[in-house]
Amino acid sequence: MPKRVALLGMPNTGKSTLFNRLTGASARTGNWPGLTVELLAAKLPLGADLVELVDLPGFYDLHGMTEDEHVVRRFLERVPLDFLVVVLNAAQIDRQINLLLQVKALGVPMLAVLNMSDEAKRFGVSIDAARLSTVLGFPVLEISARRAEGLDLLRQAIADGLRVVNNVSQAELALRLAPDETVQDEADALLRMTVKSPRELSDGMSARLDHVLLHPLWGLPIFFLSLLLLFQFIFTVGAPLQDAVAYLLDLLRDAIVQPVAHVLPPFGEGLLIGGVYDGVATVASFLPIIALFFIVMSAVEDSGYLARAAFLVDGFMARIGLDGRGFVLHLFGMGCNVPAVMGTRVMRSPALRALTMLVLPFALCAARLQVFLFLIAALFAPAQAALVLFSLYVLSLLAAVLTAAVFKRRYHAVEPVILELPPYRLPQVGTMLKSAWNEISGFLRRATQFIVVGVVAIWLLTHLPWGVEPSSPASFAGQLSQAVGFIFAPLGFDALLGVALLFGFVAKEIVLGGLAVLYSVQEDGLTQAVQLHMDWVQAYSFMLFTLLYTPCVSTLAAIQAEGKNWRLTLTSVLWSVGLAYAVSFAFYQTARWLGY
Amino acid sequence: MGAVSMKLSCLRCGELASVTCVEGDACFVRRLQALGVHPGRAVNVVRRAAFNGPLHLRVGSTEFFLRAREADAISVQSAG
Repeated sequence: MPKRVALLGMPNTGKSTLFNRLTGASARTGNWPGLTVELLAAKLPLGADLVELVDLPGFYDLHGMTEDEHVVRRFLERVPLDFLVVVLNAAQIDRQINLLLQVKALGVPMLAVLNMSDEAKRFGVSIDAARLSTVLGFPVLEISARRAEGLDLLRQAIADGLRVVNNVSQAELALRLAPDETVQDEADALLRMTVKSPRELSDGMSARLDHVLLHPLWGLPIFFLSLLLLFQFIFTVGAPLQDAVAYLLDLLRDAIVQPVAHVLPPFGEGLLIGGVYDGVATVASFLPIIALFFIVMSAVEDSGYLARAAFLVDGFMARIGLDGRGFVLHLFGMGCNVPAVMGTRVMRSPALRALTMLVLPFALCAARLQVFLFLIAALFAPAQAALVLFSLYVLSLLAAVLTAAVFKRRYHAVEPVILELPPYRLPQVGTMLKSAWNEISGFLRRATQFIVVGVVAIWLLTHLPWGVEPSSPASFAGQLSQAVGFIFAPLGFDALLGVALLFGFVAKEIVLGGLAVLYSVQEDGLTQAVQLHMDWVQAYSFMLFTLLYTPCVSTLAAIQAEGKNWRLTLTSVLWSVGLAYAVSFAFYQTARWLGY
Repeated sequence: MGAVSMKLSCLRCGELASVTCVEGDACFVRRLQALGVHPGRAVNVVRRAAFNGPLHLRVGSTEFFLRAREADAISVQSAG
C-alpha cells in the first residue's frame, strides 16, 4: 500500500512544475471516489516508501466557494492521506501565508515549500525560512522547481515526514474543514517576524514589458500582430515537416503495408489500404503542424502574456456578456475545443459558463484546420492561401461574437473578474514538449477510436453492396448522398461531400480522412480528385460549413458533462448547424449570383 | 487625519493608497483577501485598459486586474 502525499497551493506557484520535476513522465490522470474531476497522480519511491503523489488543483482559499476549492475540500474529506506538501510562491508570501495557516489548522503532517526563491530575490523579498519553520513546527524549504534547485532536500524531507503517522481521521478532518476562522492576525504576526520586503515591489523587467505590451493604444495591435507572426511561424516551419511525414507514410505503405495486405482477399486489402491506412495517413500527415501549434501555445501561456491578453480585451468582452478569461479560452480552443470547454470551470456563475461554452466551439480547432489547409492548398493560389485561411479565423471570431450577442440575454450573468498577472517568465522547453506530446498521444488515441471507425464506415458505405463500383450512385454512400443531396445542393456541395460531413460530426478530422476514402485515392492523388470535384466557390462554401456546423462529439460530451444541461447542449448543436447552413447558403448563392 | 476615503476606481494611476474597506459578497471579499487586498494593505493602480476596461492593480508583489465596477467596492485612503 503506497503512502499518499498531496501537493497543494495557489495558482501561479509553480506547483505543476514541481509535480513534474518530482514525478518525471510517470504521471497519469485518474478518477477519485466522490470527485467529478480527474486529478494527476504518480507513484515514486521516496526513502523506504513507495509514495503516490497527487496534484490538487490550484486554489486560493481552503474555505472558499469556487469549483476548485470544493474539489480540494472533497478530496481532503474523502481520500485518506499521509502527508501534505504546501507550495508557496516565495515572492508572494505576504498573502499566500494565509493558505499555509489554513492548511496547518487541519493538523495533518505537512511541510511547506517556498518555490521561486530566485524570483523572490529579484523582487527584494527575503524570508527567514529557519525561523518560520521553528514557529510553525514543520519544515519550510526554499527551492526553485524551474531550476531544479533544492529538490533532493525536499524528497528527503518528505521521506522523513512520512515516518510520523497521520492520526487525523477523515471524520475529524471534515469537521476541521468546516470552520472558517480568520488567520489574518496570525499571518501578519508571522510575516513581521520572518519576512523582509520593500514597500513597493515590482520586478523591473515585467513593468517595462507591460509598459509596452499593455499600452492603451498599441497593446491590442501588438497582441494581434504577435499572434499573426506565431501562426506564420507555425506554418513556415510546419509545412516542410508535413511533406516529410506524408512522404514517409507513403513509403511505409508501399514498402510494408501494401505487401502485407496483399495476402488478404481483395475486399480486405481494399478496406485496409484504401480505408484505414489512407484515411488515417491523410490525417496523420498534419501532426507536425498540430504539435507545433501546441508547443507555441504552451510557450505563450508559460510566458504570462495570455493573462495580459485577457486584460486587453476584457472591456470589449464585457459588452458581449463575456469576459477576458473567455477570450483566452477561445485561444486555447484553437488547439482543441474540449480542454477549452473544461477550462470554463474557473467561472463560478452557471450562466456565464453556459454562454462561454456556447461560444467556444466556434474556435477554429486543429482538426478543422487540417481540412482547411488541405482544401486551400488544393484550390487556391499560394499567394491567396494565407489570406483565405486568415478570413476563416476572422469568421470564426465573428461567429463567436454573434453567438454571444444573440444569447447574452438568455445567459445573463455578472461575475467579478479577478485575474492574476504573473511576472513574465521564459517558457521552459520541458513544458512545451510535454504539452506537444500530450496532444500527439491524444491524437493517437482518437485515431485508434473515432477516426479509424469513421473512415472504415465511410469505406464500407462506398464499397457496399457487394460488387458495386466504388462511390457510384449504386453504393450505399451514393444512395445516402442522393437522399441528403437536396439538403446540401443549395450550398453547392458535391453530394458525396455530404456523407463526409455526416461522419465529421464524430470528429472533424474524419471529414478529411473521409474525402480520401470517398474519392478512393491516395493522399497525393486527393488533390487532383478534389480539383476535379469542386471549384473555389464550392470549396469555400464547404469550408464555411465545416467551420461552423455542430461541435464534434467529444466537445458536445464535454459541454454536457460540464454544463449538465440538455437544453444548452441541444442549443449548441441546433444554433451552430443553423448558422453554418445560413452562412454557407448566403455565401454560395451570392457568389454564384455575382457570376463567380 | 486629513486623508479622505474614496473608491479605488477614483484613484489616479501610480498613486499609492491604503485599503480601508472591501464590500461585496463573501466570495468576492475572500478572493480579494487571498490576493492580499484587505484593510491596512497598500494598493496601487498601475494602469487602466482602454475602452473603460479593467484596472491593473498591484498589492505587494502580486499584480492582477479587476473591473472598474468591482473596484468601486474597495474603499481606500490616499497614502501620499
